[in-house]
Amino acid sequence: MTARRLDAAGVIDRARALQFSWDGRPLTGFVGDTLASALLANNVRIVGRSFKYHRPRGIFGAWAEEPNAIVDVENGDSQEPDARATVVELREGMAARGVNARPDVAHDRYAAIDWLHRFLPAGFYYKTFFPDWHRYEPRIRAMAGLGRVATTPDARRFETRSAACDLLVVGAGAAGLAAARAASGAGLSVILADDRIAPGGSLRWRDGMIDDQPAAAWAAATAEALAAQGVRVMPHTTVFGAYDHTTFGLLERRSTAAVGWSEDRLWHVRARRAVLATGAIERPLVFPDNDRPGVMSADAVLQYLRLYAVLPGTRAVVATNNDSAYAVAVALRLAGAEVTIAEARADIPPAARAAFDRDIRVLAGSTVLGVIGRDGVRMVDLGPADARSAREATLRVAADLVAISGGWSPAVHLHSQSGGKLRWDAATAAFVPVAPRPDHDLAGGADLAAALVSGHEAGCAAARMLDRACTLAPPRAEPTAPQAAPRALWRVPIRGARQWVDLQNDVTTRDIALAARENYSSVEHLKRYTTLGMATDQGKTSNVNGLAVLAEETGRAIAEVGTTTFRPPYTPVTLGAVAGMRHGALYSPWRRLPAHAEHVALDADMRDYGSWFRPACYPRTGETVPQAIRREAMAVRGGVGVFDGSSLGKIMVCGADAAQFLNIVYYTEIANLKPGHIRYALLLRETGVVQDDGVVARLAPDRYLLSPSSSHTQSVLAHLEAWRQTECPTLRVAMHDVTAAWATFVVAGPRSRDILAPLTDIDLSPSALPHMALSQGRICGVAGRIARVSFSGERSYEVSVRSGYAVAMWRRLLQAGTAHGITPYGVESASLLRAEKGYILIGVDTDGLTLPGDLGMSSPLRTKQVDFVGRRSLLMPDARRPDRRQFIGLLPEDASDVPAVGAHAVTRGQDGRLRSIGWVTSACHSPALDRSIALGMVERGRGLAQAGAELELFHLGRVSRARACPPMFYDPAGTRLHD
Amino acid sequence: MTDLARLSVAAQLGAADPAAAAPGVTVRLVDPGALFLVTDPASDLAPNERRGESPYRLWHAPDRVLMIGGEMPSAGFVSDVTDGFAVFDIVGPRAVDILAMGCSLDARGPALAPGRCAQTIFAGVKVLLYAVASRDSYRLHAERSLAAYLLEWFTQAASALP
Repeated sequence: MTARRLDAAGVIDRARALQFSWDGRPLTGFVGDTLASALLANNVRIVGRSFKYHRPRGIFGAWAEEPNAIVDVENGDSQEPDARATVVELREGMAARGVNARPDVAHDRYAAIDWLHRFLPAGFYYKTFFPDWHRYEPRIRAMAGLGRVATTPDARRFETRSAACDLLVVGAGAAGLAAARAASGAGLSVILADDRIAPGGSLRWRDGMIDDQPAAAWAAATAEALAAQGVRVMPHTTVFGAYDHTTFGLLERRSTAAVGWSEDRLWHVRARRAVLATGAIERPLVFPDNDRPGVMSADAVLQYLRLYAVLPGTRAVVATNNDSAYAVAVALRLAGAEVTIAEARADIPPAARAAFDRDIRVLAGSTVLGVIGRDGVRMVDLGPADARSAREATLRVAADLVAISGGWSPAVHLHSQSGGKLRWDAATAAFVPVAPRPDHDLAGGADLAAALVSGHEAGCAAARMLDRACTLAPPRAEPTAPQAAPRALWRVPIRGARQWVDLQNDVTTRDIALAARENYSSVEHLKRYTTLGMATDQGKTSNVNGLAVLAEETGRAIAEVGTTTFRPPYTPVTLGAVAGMRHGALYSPWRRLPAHAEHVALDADMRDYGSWFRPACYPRTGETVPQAIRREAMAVRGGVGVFDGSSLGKIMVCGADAAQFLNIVYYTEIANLKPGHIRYALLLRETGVVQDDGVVARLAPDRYLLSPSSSHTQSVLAHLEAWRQTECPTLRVAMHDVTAAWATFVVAGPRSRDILAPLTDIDLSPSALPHMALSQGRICGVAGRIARVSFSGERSYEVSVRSGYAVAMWRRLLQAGTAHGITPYGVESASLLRAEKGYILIGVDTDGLTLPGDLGMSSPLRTKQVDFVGRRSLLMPDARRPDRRQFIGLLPEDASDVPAVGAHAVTRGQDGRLRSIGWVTSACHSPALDRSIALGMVERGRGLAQAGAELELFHLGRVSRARACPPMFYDPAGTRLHD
Repeated sequence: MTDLARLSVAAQLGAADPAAAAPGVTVRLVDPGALFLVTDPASDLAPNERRGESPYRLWHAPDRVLMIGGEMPSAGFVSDVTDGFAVFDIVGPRAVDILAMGCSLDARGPALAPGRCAQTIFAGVKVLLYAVASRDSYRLHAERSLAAYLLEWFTQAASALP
């Protein structure tokens, strides 16, 4: 094994060595290395095991196209599973491990699976394990999959950014740099993004002169000049998706350059136009045993030589069907390697002259017929490219490296994602992008001069479309001799031998042939049946070869077979980058009550209710949550409690036609409500389903205050606005959401009046302020209002003041109530109090099918004189079915047993089978009754309740009994309420 | 019967001043004076327009404006929402960077030009956003109940700026 680091050249910083480890072995690399280049420099040949057959695999590519080098990377306290070693920047202390092997990739005990390959054809799982998949699944799942997912929190931090520009240029190679240069020169704001660590693309490793400078120097100088004139140059940034409205998703990796805490950044870029200068990906040649470690993409070999000063092998076979590999052969020779070229074309092309000049042997009409060496290339059989048997090999050469080039596939991913079309170009044997979207331009070319001109023209075209003039002259490169046409060579026609098309998912030409025989002739079916192109590399190197083989097998032209659909992302995007800052405390926007700090100071058990953070209850030292809830509920029944209801919605409705409008949108009659009074009202959807309940207060003839449920305020507001704007545009009415401007505290209990009366100038006597009335005045000296409504069944006052006074008001109420034993109570306690009264909670006791009649509220349908939202639906036969589920109370037979919420009420059929007739929606232990109670929705429930019928409740195999009753357990006459 | 103390949003949250800062940008919770929602069919503001100095008005919806500062107007349907908003001022040459982390509007684009105001989603919540004096100074109104969340968001976002 003979890969090694050269003494000179490359962009690595030899003064700064980095220690890292591979499968536990300590190794050394340099700043500027990728993990892959450092592994190659250390002569690590096997970096992975193939997905299905567990064949040893080596590094194949040099960047995003890599199918083999899938590794787990640990960097301090962050872990990245299934990273491609070719794109991982090497860092000090990095620990990398191979995947899909036990104990490690060099000695994988599953390697024996490869001997069974005859029994593991395409569709093996479908053919073997169905219909009893579930029996085999656990074992197969345990074996499948690649990397190990970290179980500890990721220490990396991510952020998301938005950016806007006139022009986004994707790719900073020759074409992209020329495009950005032209557009920026014309005055456009430009973002230039490239996924490599530095701009320049292939200019960084391919020879050439631009404007009398070496190409690599020109690229660096141009990128620097562009940045200086305001272009946002973004290296190490993958444009992974093209979306509507010229919006793009970008993933910026900032591993070593990171400052602040953020590493990967996800960018949403909205551009007015885009230039796609994404270059091309080299295709492999397909031949028997082409997956051996040491078989590499020729262009990747050149990159390792030029960028990282790594010579991947000292005895190289370069196999090609096109001109681009000759520069690789020459570079290998200059680095000291022995080189043999297998040229698939019968005629030696003019490009071969450079090879002859270096005394490199070129075998015309030849390709690789076999590779010997289980754990890495040892010998290579060469022979005629149209050989039908391995015995036709004419030459066996000792080799440790096979550099292959099967032609180039333009990276059309973004173009195709955005709806652009592809055309099969037989001359270059490639799918080329045509008919881009109107706001996209394409740039690129197979030779340097053409790429520069194409890029420049795309930049100028973008400028012209945005009304700018392009004045710069294009960058100039010497025209090169025209390239000879490549020979389309999709595989060696040797039957029987395994030739890999998709290295990552272990798909061979035999699998494709089998799929074709089984009539999977559509390329999309082929993909799913064989998993061709479905691995994490998304077939970057395998798609075209695969569909070309399918075309041969089905006797069609490649253009006829077509391609599979390209979808974002181009390369995998870390979920952390998608989440950005939206985790932990910022997981979702949560709302806080204005007196939040007061509740926290009282050790409230704060919980998430809808988007609000609210006290569930206030447990005292040594008290459990159920004990606290019981204590708080009993305090309200027996004395007085105070509840922070600031999250309750507050919508002001005003206008001469306000009464008429509300009468249309509410189920309950509103128009005849008198000023100063309050009514409980239901809001329905057009389907008749109950959307929300709440109270409506009439402040003045033309002014109402609505109080929707805390978590429904925004949807109720949207519903009302929709009806106002689209169905009632002629009504003079308007709405203001004032929810956050007001704090509301509920003082409830027999002694509530004693506490409040001294604090306010509002007359609280039952005659002046009866139940369901409201009055405005001053409370503790500040303007506010007191509404007498009750969700607890006790006499209860809702005190509202502006939010700025919330903290002071809360403290004042507690202070004023000290002598009366005032007890703060939370949402859970309030919910218990309402359950005792049988008051519904929308969304808890009701669901998306509940009609008002199911809740026993059918009188508006009978008596309301005007049409209202949902009325028609309530007249439909389904709404009048006698067997609808209805809201009832349930008294468990065992008074100490609280039934589970969700427990089913069941009947037994003739055959003894249970049938659900409804379920429990709320259940608790009632302190007032000192027994368990429940609420539920049950078929024909009201009849059962009237009869006091016994019901069976079924939950997780357990059966209990309960008696149906009206949904009102406490003070049915409501005397306490009105007291 | 003594008067109650009225807390500003900053005081209610115990927020520092500035609430968050990074080189080139400071974020402050400010008290811009009284805020009134005014619905008046006679309103002359164009959509997303901002007009006036002190008081000034922001277009809020058809026929509806948010008035900032000044006395309660007498015409139209008026709601005092002074206590309903948390108002953040984001000031400095790097204000645009912190805005780019929270919303997709181009801080240098037409939507946030002087004389304009935008209703948009910022850090996942509904806000009113506009440039105050220059393109280095922005003001953001959000529901008061979301102030603590936004404060945490600005603190984390500021720490991400180099």
